[in-house]
Amino acid sequence: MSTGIEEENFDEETLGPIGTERMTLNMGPQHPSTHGVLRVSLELEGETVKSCNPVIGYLHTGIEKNMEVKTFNKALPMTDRMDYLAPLSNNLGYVLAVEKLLGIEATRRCSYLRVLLVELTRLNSHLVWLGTHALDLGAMTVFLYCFREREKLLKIFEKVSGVRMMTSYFRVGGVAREPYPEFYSDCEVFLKDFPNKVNDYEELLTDNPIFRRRTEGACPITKENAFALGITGPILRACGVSYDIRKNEPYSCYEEFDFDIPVRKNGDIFDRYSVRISEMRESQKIATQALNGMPEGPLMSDAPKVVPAPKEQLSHDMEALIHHFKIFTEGYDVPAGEVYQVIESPRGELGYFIVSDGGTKPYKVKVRAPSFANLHSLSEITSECLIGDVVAAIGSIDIVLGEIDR
Amino acid sequence: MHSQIEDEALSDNNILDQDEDVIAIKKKFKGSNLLFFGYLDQISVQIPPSDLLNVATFLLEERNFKQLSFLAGVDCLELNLEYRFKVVYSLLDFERAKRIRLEVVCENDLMPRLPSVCSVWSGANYHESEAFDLVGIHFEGHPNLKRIFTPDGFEGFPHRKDFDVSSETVEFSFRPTLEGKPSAKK
Amino acid sequence: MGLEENLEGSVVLGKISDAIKWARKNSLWPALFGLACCAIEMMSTSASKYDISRFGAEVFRASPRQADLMIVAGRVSKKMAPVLRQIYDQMPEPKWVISMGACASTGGVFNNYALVQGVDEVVPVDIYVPGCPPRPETLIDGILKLQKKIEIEGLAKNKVLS
Repeated sequence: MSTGIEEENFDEETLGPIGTERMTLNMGPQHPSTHGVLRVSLELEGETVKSCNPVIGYLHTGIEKNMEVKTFNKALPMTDRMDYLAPLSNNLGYVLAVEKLLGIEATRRCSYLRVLLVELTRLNSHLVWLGTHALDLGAMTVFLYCFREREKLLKIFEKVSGVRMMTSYFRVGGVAREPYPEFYSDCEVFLKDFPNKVNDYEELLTDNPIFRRRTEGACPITKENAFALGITGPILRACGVSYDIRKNEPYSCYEEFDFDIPVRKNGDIFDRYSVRISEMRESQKIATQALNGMPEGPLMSDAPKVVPAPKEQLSHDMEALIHHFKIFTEGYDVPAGEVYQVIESPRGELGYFIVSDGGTKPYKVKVRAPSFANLHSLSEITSECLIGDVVAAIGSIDIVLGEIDR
Repeated sequence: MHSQIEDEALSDNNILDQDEDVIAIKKKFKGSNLLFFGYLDQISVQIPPSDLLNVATFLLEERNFKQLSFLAGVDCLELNLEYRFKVVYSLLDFERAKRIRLEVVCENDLMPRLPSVCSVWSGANYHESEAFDLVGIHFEGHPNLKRIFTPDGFEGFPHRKDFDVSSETVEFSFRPTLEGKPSAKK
Repeated sequence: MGLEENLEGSVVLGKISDAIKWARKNSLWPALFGLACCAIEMMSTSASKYDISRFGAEVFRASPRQADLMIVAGRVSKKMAPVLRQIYDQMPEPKWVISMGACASTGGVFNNYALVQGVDEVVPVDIYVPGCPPRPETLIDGILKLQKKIEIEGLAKNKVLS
């Protein structure tokens, strides 16, 4: 079939030079692979991304402002709703910050329990990341596998705290209640089985030629850029910086656990994947250690003005009853001052900057959300890459929009 | 509040006198009006806006504070201080695992302005936009200072203390169609 | 063998509307409209263990043009509301909306400047699913309730037969 155009017609005299034109492509805010309501405005030249500007704010909830009108205890459930994939990490950061202001310390058993739960949360968060990241790259099976394990974890969380996702289990000076009797054996069963499951995921992805070709060498970031942009967490460790707040600035008894910090050196998507997979194995190790080494002793700190007394005590102890009433009605006074407490959330440095004016409500709360800083790297890592890699890059940053927009 | 913190720190411990960063800053910026205070194992330096860029560059280049963890605008309206706005910067040195906090007080309460530190740490970009959007602090020299969280046409700065937290009813202008309601015809 | 042999050439008398409603209710195609926390539970609902495809609603479509059910999963900010409305407008009739979770239904705990206090200020809602976030079972229950609603409502929407 003739095309109707002779070949010699394609010369510069008749058609002019073949030019390219930049195209602006809008991706999101409703897009299956932006992990929420992220909007990315891309400038393309052919298939090459020339610039990439994330537009955020589509989930701005005003959580920090809302916390200012609630007492310190009542502000706690707000923290879950920020990073909804790792609610317990958020609880921990907030609780540690307030404890630091109050000058009380969690008991050793409580710290161990917190570590155990927070590491389970890290597994939970990484499972969602792995499932959705793989789904973005076209691997459906991994998604189904990951959610299978996640359901087991959520079952444990639900039995401990009463809710599947928004746990709000930690309290200032302790935890909400004693875990249920079979909690430890449930965790043991899960943790014993979990390394095999990670092997399963790795079997599906690590040596999968399609996955490797899409991720190896794609969208790298250098160490210096990562420092300057404020990037933390697995992305930073994937480009060769061995910095983990659990190890370098330990909190909540982390110095007592024996674990490695997985570090890679290329900083590409595959390395980020690989760091997170290794982190899952390390988390399993930490959680097992916390489970086996769970110390005896009280769970709640000895701070009667902050920690409510157990219910049995209320029936015969007048003072405990008064404190109980005061804690739940007007709250407790927190000494004036400013505090910045960091923890290692599954996504990086999660910090709570709390200003107290000496009252029962936080004067100002500012959350240093790891995703917020990490998202900054998107325009850096996607420049000059192909448009198909943008989805992989967004997945590899592991953003949670609830935390970015707050 | 600050004087109280300062007294406490000075009487309880002398981390300020022994800290090498504090000594280095004091040595370098002798003539400047810097105020040091320590509170809860963290060292803070209060610096006047005019010195911000110099101190920031010094800390990055010579004291190895490679990362700006965050910056936050704080509205001190209800704190009984002589100023209204301040901005808090938190810096991190990876090698020593050390953090230091800078505090800069905005001189003008009505139109708070500060120099942008984007040229020192490029990661400050988003954080400064956030402080501009929510607290209304203008950063001079910022490459693209605009509202990032609040919708277009939003008025006021929600994280200021005089902004009411509660909700108001919203009005939306739906896309008009001939029948007055959305339809799939034509 | 058994039943099918006898069905050859048989005729069933019935209302055409019943057949259409039966088809509609058993093939709800939700638009992928995850906003916040509830979206993760929506993903759980479609993943292993809960498996929403047992109720014919597993075909999550990224394009609103191919969807007839919008599950508003999560809090709706004022910046997102016009986008949500536009996506709703782009969906072809007939279409239904499930408001999933406390935030989408009422604003939840966030009574503040940033959030729309209930998505029904923006789009008409058929089913409200409570919870923060709702369990997958609750969402499935919401979908089943919607199926019942489709069964009793008229072919042209908004006319519920008594």
